[in-house]
Amino acid sequence: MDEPFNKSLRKNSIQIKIGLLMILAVILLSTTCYLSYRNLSSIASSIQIDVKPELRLLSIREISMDLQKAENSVRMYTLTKNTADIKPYYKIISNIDEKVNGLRSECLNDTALMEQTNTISQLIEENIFIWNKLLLLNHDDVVVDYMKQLSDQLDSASESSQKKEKGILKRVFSRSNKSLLNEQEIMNNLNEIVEQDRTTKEKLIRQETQLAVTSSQIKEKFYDLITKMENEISDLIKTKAVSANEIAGNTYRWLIMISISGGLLAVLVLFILIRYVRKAYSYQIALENSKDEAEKLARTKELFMANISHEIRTPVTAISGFTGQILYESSDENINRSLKIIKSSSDHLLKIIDDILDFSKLQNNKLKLEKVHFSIGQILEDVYLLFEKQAAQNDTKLSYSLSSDTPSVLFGDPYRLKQIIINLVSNSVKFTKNGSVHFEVSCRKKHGEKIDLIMEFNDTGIGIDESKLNMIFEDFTQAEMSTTRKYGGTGLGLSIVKKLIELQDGTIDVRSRKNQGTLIVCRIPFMVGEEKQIKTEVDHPLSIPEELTGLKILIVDDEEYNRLLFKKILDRWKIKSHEVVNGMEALELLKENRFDLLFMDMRMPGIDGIKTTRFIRTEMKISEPEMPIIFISAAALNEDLQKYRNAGMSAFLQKPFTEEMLLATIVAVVNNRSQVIVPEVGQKDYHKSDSAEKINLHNLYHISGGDEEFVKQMLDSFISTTGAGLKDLQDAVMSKNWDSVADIAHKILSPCRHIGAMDLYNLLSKIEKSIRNDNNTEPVESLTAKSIREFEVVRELLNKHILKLN
Amino acid sequence: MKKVINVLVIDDNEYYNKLLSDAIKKSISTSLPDSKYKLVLHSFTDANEYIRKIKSEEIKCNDGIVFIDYYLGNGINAAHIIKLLKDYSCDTMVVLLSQSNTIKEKSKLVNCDYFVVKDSLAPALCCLYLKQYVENKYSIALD
Repeated sequence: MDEPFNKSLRKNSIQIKIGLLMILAVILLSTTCYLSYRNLSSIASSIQIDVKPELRLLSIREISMDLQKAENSVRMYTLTKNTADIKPYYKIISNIDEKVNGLRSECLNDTALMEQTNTISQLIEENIFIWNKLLLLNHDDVVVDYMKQLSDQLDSASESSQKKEKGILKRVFSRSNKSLLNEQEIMNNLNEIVEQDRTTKEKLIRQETQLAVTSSQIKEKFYDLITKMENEISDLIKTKAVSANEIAGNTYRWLIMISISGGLLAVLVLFILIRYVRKAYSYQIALENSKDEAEKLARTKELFMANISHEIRTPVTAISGFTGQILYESSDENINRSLKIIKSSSDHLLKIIDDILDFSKLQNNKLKLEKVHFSIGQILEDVYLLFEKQAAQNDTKLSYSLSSDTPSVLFGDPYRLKQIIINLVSNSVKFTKNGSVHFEVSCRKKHGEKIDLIMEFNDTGIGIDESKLNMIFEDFTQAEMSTTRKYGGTGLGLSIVKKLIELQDGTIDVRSRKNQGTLIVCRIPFMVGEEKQIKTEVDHPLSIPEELTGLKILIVDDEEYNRLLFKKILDRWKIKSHEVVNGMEALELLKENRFDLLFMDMRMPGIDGIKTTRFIRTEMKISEPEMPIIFISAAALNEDLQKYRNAGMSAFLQKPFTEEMLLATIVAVVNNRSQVIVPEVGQKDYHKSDSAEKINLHNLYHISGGDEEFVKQMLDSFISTTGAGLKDLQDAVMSKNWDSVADIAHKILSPCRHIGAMDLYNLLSKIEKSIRNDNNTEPVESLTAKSIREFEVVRELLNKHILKLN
Repeated sequence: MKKVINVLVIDDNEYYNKLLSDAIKKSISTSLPDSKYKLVLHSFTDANEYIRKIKSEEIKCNDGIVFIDYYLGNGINAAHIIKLLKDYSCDTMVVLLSQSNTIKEKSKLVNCDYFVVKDSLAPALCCLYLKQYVENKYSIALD
């Protein structure tokens, strides 16, 4: 398996692991849900089944009750013969029929119950049949007819008797006399009726008996059935309970298993996540370290470039500067020739260094473009003059043209434009022998004041192989390795040109053929400039303004060359100068001396120029109008300007500088200074005590930052330590231990000076000096006594001051 | 975890010791609060105690800056301490403090990095050197 795949797998392994575990968790959860649902459904359905027998029991009980009601209705009717009492009977038996049918349908699945139900149904039918019979017997018309017939016969007999005897008593008596003939018949009829009635009653009794038997049977059957059903239900409930318990048990087991699995899964996920987080954290730390390393590396690179600037440019500048100075003074032709070679070589070296520095800045996006008005014609002329001789040496005709429609003044960065043209013309001239180099500038107008400057560089030189055209803009590259050996150069020129053009939103295009020549076309957008805005340079010869001759200048630079160069130029200009090699010495010197102007190298060992300047301004209170500070540096003044200004910088001079630049800077600063009112000298000279005062707490308050408690503490400390010190001093004097006396005097000197107790300070100083320097112990005793008296005065003053603070 | 830089003030004068220590303490909290290093201030009025702590390695002498008075009492001076630091191969920056104006000459004798005359500007100068020392620990000014 190949390495990238393994890396990718390793990178994704955590996602895969987590993903798989999540899938597993989802499956487990789904299973849990499904099992819970299934088992709960089972339990619910078992509960549902259990309810059915209860319903059947209810039906049976209802039927039983209905039968009782029906019987009651029948009995009531037999007693009352009221039809209203029989009406519920018919309704009830109709319901019973429905309920029996319902019960039958509920017992369809149970054969035994079905048989029982059928038996009950038959018995009920039989019962109803008997009830109906009973009802029929109670409605029997035979007895009624007989009774009616008998009544009629009795009525006719009475009517015949009424005609003779008109009272109830007469009729009763007459019935025995006159109706004697029909009596036997009536008696017969009555007997018949009685017989019939007896028969009916017997029938009734039989029916009643049968009914009772049937009812009893039905009841028994019902009780049997109910008992059976209850038993059956009880069994069923037990079975279902057992089954539900089993299901619940299974469910619990499943749930426990799944819960344990879920817990284990969670622990696993947690473990993986923790491991992942720890790994991620260690990667983060490693990344941060790598980032720090990379930043450190970048800083080292920048530092390296700065070192090149400082360490190489400074001596080269000195070489170039001194050579120029000697060239001014020397009249020997041979020496001058050699000096010119040295100067041109050092200038060339500077050019290479500039290329490298520019490249570094371009790479780090630190290069800033200027925006000034400039003459394009002047630039072209300068470049032409620069290479005219070199081209002639190569037997090459150098020419240039500027189209008439191109604005004479443009607005942009002339230095970078010149750099581009110089680089391209330099290449053309370098690689063309016995040919021609022509550069042509035209413009393409855009809207408003914007134009596109089109520059074409055409030569008949060695050309570039078409296959290598795409690599000529790469860093440190030349088309052929042999080119470097033969023609020299860093291989940075075209790379810088391309970057500079792109920085200005332009384009560059190259067309070339080996041994035929090269055409380079550049397009850079510019704004149209104004002629009156073009800055003019200081013309030779230099005339030193008179007001500069009386100046006293301090030069702070660790580079001896620079200091010497400064000194040489300033001496020639009759300006007094003093040099120190670092910030620390500058500060010490400034404690006792004043200068009109200070040149401060920004990069020095120990404390740098910015910190030294800040200290001069903030702690020593030497203001800008009183002593302007000009920063000197080999690095260009970029975005740090505000930082330098804040530190107290008055002006900036970039190394290497020319005499003109130096003069212009000094003149600008001095002229500017004259416009500012210089504050009173006494204001800043706070470290010297007023002799009229016994103490001066200005320093202490300055340090305290307004913290009165701190001042109080310090004064208390002074009183106690100096008091004790003086006592020790007195003891040491008494015992004539002079070394100890000097030590003690020295020990308490600093605080005295700090609180401005200068009289006490001077006395103690004299004690130390007498012993250490003069080896004279004679005045020590009296000086000690004076010191103690002086301390008493100081102490009193300090105590008063402390009281005020309280 | 921040790397520790020991800032040592060795001056037998309690007043000046306190004055300097306080100025440094304020400088640490105001000018160097976001430093990559943890600055720990130790003050000694007794040089012997400092020597004892160096010898017993109670105080690591690497990565530190020492503000030291020339005369330390009891016959000890800065030269003794600097020699001790050299004997223990300590990588420390030494700022020599002295009352005397001949400190420049003394500083050459005792091989210190900086010297400061004990005047009113001394505390501010010490703070300046401390700041520069801390900055130089991880950065060198590019100008």
